Amino acid sequence: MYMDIEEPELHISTSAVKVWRLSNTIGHGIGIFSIVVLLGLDYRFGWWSWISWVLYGLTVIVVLSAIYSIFVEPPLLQWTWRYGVNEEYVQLKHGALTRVHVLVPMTKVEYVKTNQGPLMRKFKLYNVEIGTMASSHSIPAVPEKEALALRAQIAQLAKIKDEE
Amino acid sequence: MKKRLHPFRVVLSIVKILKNLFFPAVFLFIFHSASEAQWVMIGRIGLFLYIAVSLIVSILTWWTYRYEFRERTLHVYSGILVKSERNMPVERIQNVQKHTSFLHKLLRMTSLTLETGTGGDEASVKLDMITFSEAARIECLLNQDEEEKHDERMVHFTVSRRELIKASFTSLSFFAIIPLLASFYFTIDDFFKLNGVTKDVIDYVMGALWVLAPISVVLLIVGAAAGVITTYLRYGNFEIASDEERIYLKKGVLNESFFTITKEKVQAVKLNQSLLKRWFGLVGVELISAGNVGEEEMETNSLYPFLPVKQAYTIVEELLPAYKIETDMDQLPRASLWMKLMRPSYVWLITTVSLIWWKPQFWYVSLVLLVLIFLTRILEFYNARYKMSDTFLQLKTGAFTTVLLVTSRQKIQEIEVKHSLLQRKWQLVSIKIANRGRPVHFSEMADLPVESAENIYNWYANRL
Repeated sequence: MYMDIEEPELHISTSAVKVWRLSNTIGHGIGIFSIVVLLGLDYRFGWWSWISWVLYGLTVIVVLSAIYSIFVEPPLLQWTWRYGVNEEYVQLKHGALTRVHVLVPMTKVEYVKTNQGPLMRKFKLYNVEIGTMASSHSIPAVPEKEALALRAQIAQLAKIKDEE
Repeated sequence: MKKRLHPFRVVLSIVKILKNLFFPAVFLFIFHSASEAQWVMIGRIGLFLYIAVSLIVSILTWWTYRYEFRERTLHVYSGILVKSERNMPVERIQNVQKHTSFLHKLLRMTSLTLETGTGGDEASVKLDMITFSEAARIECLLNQDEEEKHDERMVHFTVSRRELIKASFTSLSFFAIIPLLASFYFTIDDFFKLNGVTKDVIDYVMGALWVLAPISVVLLIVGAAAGVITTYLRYGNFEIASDEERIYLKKGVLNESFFTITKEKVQAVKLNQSLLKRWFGLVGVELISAGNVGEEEMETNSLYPFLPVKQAYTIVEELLPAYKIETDMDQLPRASLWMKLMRPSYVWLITTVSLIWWKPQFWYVSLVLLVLIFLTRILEFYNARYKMSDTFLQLKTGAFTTVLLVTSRQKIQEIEVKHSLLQRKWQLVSIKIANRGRPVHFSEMADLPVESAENIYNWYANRL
């Protein structure tokens, strides 16, 4: 432990890795598809040469980004994400190389809500979003039962009405 | 009893309409004064129609806009076709702003803005044309609970002429003359096609340096005078006063603003010092408040931009007795300097790569940029200070302009600490805190020693 502070203990769902891999694959797939279409058009109509260079550059960036966000990032993120809730505050921690700790006092919590996309619904996962006057923080990929309990718990501790 | 704004409200609308139509009118009636073209005629008819319709709308708007105070709540009724009613409980009103523009002054009227702490369009009510006695009546209504305290208002600062002149020099407002002159020149040039003449004049002046010197001196004097005048108009009559619960600010000569802020709503105090202000020993004081401050009067939030440093500290402590500004603050360890210097600069990388790619002959720009970036970082290191006391946190950051933020544990909304691989190697941590405000105010301090960051985090976590 690098800093001598109380650290949160709870993990997020291990299915998060699958969900993130899938969604990042879809996202990058669309990106690569668009570039291929543009390259085809470029080849067919003979656009200015700088456009080809930009497209080749983009391809390299998208491929590198795909490798990182499909193979490297999801397990790292899942492995390092921790959260904790008690009467006093909500604590979040994430990141492998750069580690981030966030501390939000319960009295400053304005709202708490859960949301899920179609992929997350398939794996019965929820994002739990905690909002303050200043900003909002999202705990990603929490299993359904825990997420709903967490939402109720934070709402109760922060003395706010439950929000869908 | 429901009240309307003063009928002069319509005059205000008319002035606004005419102001907006000034350029189209000049275009249609002066530039094309002799034109009989159909579109010019249509444009002119349209212009008159627009004026007529806006006039009717503004009269109806004035007629339908009514307000009243009933059961300690402000009710506002408005809308010509779609009627709406707004209720604003008096307890919710945080700040009161009185603004008397030049036009208001001519008409012997004023405007009052009542602000609640919430966000959105509905956050404030502006009564934009009322008599001074009506304004006084409303202010009295709002302060009913603490009427007797009203007399104990204490004046902390009034601006003197000498200070105003000093202020006008540090604000560099005399350089404002340059763009003004330039735009003036280009406008004339466009209209009268001076191309040939001005070129001759410039050639002549360039040829004779002895003419150039007096011209620049005159320009400088005119610029300085303009600076002094604008500063005087903005900050003349400046006064800071307070009683037990509120702070009162007054400023402006032609456009007068009067601003009230509730003390407990002050989230943080910010002291800004530009390079010039540091040389003159002046500091700008800003109060970060949760209330919604109207856009144009945003700067009223800043207490006074040119206070002498010592006086600034005492005024802040007088205004907000809970605040105590420590002058003896901690410095960053040497390792943070290395950390700051080691951090990759994306601006430099992108500039250098683009230079190599497109304009390799300008390679030295990259070198100059690098030196500038390093200089900024070194200054950032030397200026950085921090201090934590029982209830307060002070952070001082910035390279050329420094910002000292003082806030209490209660007013900090959240804290974020982070450390990268390299920072861990050098035992450093960056912290970021958030304060309420519009917009939300974030303060960041990079590369604190790990023990100090731990202290700050735990200090915040063990809140009462």
